[in-house]
Amino acid sequence: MQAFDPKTLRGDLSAARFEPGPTEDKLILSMGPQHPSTHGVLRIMLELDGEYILRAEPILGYIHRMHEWMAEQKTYMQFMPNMGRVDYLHAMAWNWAYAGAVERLSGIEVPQRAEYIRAAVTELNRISSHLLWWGAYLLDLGAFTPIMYAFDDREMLLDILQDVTGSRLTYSYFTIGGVYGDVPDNFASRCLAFTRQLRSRLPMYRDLVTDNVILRGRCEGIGEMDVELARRYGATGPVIRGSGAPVDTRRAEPYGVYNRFDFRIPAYPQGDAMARYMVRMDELETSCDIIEQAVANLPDGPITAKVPKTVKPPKGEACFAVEGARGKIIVYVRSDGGPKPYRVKLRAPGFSNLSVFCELSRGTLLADAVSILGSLDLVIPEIDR
Amino acid sequence: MSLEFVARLGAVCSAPMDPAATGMTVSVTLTPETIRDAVSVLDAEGFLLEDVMASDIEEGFEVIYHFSRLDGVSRVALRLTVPREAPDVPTISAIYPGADWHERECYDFYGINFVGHPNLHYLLLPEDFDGHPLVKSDKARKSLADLMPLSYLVDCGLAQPEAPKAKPAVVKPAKNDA
Repeated sequence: MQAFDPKTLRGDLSAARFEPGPTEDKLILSMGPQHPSTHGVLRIMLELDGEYILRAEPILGYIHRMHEWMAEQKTYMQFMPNMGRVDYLHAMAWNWAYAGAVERLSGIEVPQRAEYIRAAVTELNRISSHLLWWGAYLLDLGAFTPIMYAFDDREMLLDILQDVTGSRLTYSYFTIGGVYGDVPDNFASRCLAFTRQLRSRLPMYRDLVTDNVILRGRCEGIGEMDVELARRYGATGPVIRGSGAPVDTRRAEPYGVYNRFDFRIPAYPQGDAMARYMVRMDELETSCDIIEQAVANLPDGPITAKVPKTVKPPKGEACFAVEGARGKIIVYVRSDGGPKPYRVKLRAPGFSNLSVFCELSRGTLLADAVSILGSLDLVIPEIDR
Repeated sequence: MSLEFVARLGAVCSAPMDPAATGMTVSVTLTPETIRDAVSVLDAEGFLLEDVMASDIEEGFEVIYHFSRLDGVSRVALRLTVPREAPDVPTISAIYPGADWHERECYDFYGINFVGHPNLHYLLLPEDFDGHPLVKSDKARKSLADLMPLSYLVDCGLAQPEAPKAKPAVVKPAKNDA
């Protein structure tokens, strides 16, 4: 029998490629893909000196499904359900980005009622995404109770969305030219009841969690990033807003009816994990503001434009950017005039946000790297696509 | 938005785009030799890197870089085409480190070789995967003339503007007032 020699243990191809550094006493650690703090199936190769991270390299692709290839095989409408499965936590934003890109390319005008419904359900979905992030992030940091409260709030929200869309998670509610079905009569009153409940809960969350000294200790001064770094990496959403730049696609290039809503864009200049946390907590309130304005002004009228059964946009290309819960979502569609897209590119915000992690985690404690990873709010299916 | 920086990009041609119809402000065509200088100009202008993507067309692989300013509608598309037999493009990951993964993704799907890239191997596909899935078959491939609207082709000198159709002379039958 061969003698056990740790030097011959090279692992798989990804591990073999991750060359150990020049010194002997460094530890190469493969964190994930089943590690609870990697939320799904992300794997990170780490080179450690004791508890300190010298180098980190995420390994992606465990749930890669090649959505962009599927897009080229399907008609424009048939690809719609895929969008609910790219980012399962903020499916509505992806719905909107794809529908918007095709509408922009075909010159389809969306009816006003559909635009208001789109804004309302997208913001409801954003709240459910942020609440799940909040619960799961605190779970990563060792606090068990908050996720129970988050799921309690989320339950009410998912019931509303289920009555509207028919599904609870992977929505494909948008169609090209509008939305798939009208909202029930009690939609406005249920939305208002929900925002009332969430607003009454937020002070408790602040007292119980946000002002908690242990959370502050785990988040403040951890993973600091300035606007320049975020810009060079293409980090967007709450990540760049946590670096002090109030960058929001809803304000920068308003789509739908967002230019009619009065809402503020929270931004915190510290650039650490706590700043990103605070941005998301404030966004729960701004989303409530938008929902209240949208359901109060919901006009009557049709919910879809007149769209031919087979959508054939004229030849050309179009980008459509949407502010998702994680940042700037862009869908690029290129048409050759036929019934199927020639090329669809999905720009996932989490992809760019995660690529900053290598830089942020260098020199930190392993436990802090978990805090940084959570503060980036990753959804792996979106990153892998 | 000021577009004065476009003149400094060393473009082969630049075509203004309609933001309402395409989501872009300007499309700038470059060559692989000039891409790094152009991207440096955008970096100095404070642009954010959105993505790097590719598309398989008859002329070769078209690589498209999307940039935007932090505020306002100002998406800039830089594009260049490389032959399918030798798809070599200089990497921009030294200027925008975020391009590192986007370029690896283009390598995954099309096999584009980003010259100077520090770590060019499969990102999303398995390490032992063979091939590049988004490369089209000869039959499915279309040329730029079939993919872009006429106004873009005219701006890039790829087509002649359509002459306004001369109205067919209507010859009125002479009134026969007998």
